[in-house]
Amino acid sequence: MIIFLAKRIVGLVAVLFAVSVITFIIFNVIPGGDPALRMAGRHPTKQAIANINKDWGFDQPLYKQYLAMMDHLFVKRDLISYQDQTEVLPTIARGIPRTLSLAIGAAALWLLFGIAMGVASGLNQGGWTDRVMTILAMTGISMPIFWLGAVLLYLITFKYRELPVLSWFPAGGYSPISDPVEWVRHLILPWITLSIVSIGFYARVVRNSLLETSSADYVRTATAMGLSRRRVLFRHTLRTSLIPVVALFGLDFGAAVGGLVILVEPIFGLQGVGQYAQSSVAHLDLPPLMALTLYGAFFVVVFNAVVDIAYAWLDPRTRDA
Amino acid sequence: MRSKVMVFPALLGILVIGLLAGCGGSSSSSGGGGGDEGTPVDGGILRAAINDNPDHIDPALSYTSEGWQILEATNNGLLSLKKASGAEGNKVVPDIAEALPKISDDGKTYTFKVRRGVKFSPPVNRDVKPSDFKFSIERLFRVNSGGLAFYKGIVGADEYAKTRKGGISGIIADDKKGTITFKLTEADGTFPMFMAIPFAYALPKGTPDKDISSVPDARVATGPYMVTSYTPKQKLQLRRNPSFKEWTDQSPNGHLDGIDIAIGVDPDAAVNMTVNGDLDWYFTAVPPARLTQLKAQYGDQVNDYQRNNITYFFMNERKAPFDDLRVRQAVNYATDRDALVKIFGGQGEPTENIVPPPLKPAYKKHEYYPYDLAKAKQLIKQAGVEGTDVSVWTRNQEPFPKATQYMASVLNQIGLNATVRVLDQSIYDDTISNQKTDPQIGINDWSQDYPEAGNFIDTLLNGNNIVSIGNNNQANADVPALNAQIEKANRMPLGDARDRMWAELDSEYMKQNAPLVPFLNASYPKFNGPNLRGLVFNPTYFELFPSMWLEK
Repeated sequence: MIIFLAKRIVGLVAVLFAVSVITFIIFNVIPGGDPALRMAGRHPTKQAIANINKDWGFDQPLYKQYLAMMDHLFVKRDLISYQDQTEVLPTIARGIPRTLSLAIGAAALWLLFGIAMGVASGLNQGGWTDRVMTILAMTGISMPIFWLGAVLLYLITFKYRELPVLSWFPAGGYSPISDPVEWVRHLILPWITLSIVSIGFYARVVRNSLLETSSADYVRTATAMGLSRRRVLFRHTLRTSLIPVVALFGLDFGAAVGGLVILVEPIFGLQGVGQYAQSSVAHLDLPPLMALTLYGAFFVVVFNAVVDIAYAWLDPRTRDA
Repeated sequence: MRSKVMVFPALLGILVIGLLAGCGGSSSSSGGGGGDEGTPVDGGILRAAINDNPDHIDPALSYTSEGWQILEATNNGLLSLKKASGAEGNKVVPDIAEALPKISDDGKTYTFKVRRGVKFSPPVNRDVKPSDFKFSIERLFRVNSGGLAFYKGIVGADEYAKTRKGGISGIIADDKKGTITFKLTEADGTFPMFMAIPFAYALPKGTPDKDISSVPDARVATGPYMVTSYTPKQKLQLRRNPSFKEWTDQSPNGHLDGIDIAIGVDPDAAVNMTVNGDLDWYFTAVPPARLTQLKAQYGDQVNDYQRNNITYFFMNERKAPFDDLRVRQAVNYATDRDALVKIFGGQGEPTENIVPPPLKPAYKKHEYYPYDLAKAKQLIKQAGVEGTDVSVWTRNQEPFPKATQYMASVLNQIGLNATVRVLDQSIYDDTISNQKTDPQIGINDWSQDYPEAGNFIDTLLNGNNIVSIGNNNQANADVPALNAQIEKANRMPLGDARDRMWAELDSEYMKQNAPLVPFLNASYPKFNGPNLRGLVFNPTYFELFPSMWLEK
């Protein structure tokens, strides 16, 4: 296990290094992305641009600029935005609880409903339940997140304003510890928006996995031995059927925390890490973009590792792989 | 001055447009709050929201309408634009200066007498002195302010920009006499405007040479409000400045006890919040897709303001086929400006002028290019450029691509071979302002830095201002006789004679040179809560916080 973890940590560092270099290079080859020109205002003078280049180190060779940025990010921890000169790391730190609130709640929804729908569908293969669940799952998968969020907000604001349970603002303004009821109430819409695609997708995966497992020899044997249907389902079929879900969940949760939230947070004004990323992209603001890209990559890599560990635990055959 | 980028909200707006279509009716006003204003009531906290952080809350660095709105309530300069709406709001009036400056006969020296008794807020708590203004202008150069170009005409400023040591010799502050004198390298009648915009606001000597937006003790105010807390990406709070005492009607005390600004609320969400009663006021305009419905359902809460801006296509006079006047005129004849205004959601008025209407008398309507497709085709034929390939550049922010698509169709109709090139909003301005890119034709808009016609004609068309990067004269218009006229107008003092000259230049450029296809003076529709009163829209500072009050 120690060797496994050591390998993973080395891999994580390598991935983060590669991501940081690629992000830095992309930013520097984009035409029109000169930060000095932006800072110099609408009537830039040559002297002003020269001063900015000198003061901010933009006149240094690229590798020195890269090293300086890494120094400010990881050592001095005082990286500041080009756009508004605010500190990047405290802003990300303030956003993380909001982003996790969104991602954890949505993940709970998509796991709960995705598995429930998949099981209901798989146990009633070919029946009306299966058909309805399949239609619902495909509908969920087909709905673009940003569209769904905008439509939900429209409906709540203009059509069904009398529904207090769906009041949504301020979505990020409550704590699950000090005010759990309000926290849940105000995050319902963002959770639904973020989870709906995954619910459909997970339902399909669980259904197919359940059907495949149901026809396995050991399940047929268990049934032939006279075990109850319920016991066969929970002790034998479902446990194996959920192995792909574990793998998917790890990756999806990492991707949600590290990236997908960018589509949901701005719609609901959550001001988490995703909204920060969206705003930084819009302003081509390299320092937060660099920090946020590394943050996203970190979550994806870490959850990949968690998936591998969980997989190894659930399926001993994979441990030596 | 820039407004903040809002690409994502625009997308959302487009997405819900189908849901909102079909709502009829309209109701709007052209300034001030809707309905009967009544007697102002003091007290209350304004619940406001903004899409993203204001760029800065440091007068030296802020260069957006959002930042200037906050700074108007917190800080002051020697001069101010009159705290009024419409054309009245374009006038320069004294603020911390006792009176308008004394100007020497040669127009090169401006002397101000500084009012006594104007105090900085805690923790400084002392009178504003002339040397604070000298310090603040010099600080622009030390913090790389985006506005320092406005002050490079001060004697010694160029040298100071290089060394940033020893002070600017052309600024002489005398704290004992209470005067400050600015010596200019040449006469510049625009200088009072430069002293009325936030870059020239007073900060106390000793303010750090870095962005003070997030440095509470350095965010020192002179106005009725002060920024008491700022958490980037989350919230910003203004409360009363305990050191403030009204000195003229141009420095009103304000009615509100404070302003709470939630950061990160996009324009669509702001509409929803206002409808739900969660929000009193939002910084930026209503998304176009929501406007029709809001006017129909909440007409009293919608205000349609006029800003000093133009939207236009520039035609690069250094690039074929637009190096031929006949082609530029042909494009002007072939453009149906009403159709373009419709593409912009009907939000504004069609125009052929370079100067916006609120800048009368510098605005004098002309109509040299009534829609005439046949004449346009004839001119293209005469120029012998039929079939020439043309790229029309645009940013990807709606509805600019649609307007550009329309322009491409116009160019194709008159015999050119046009395609559209779309760039991301974040890099568009920098790209088209670079002579290396050198686009043939493209769409752009310009909103004022200060309310004067020269900010449009001089900035966009003076050939002497053409530079290799950050070039605002994207048409590369360079007519020596007209350049000289611009320089002459710049030297004249502000006033009617100067304005008449701008009006003539507007006319001459479009008649003789046709470098642009101006087509829209965009309006600025705002939506506010039902209890908000006292809305005054100044073209430079936008809605003034100190005028606002909440009906109980």
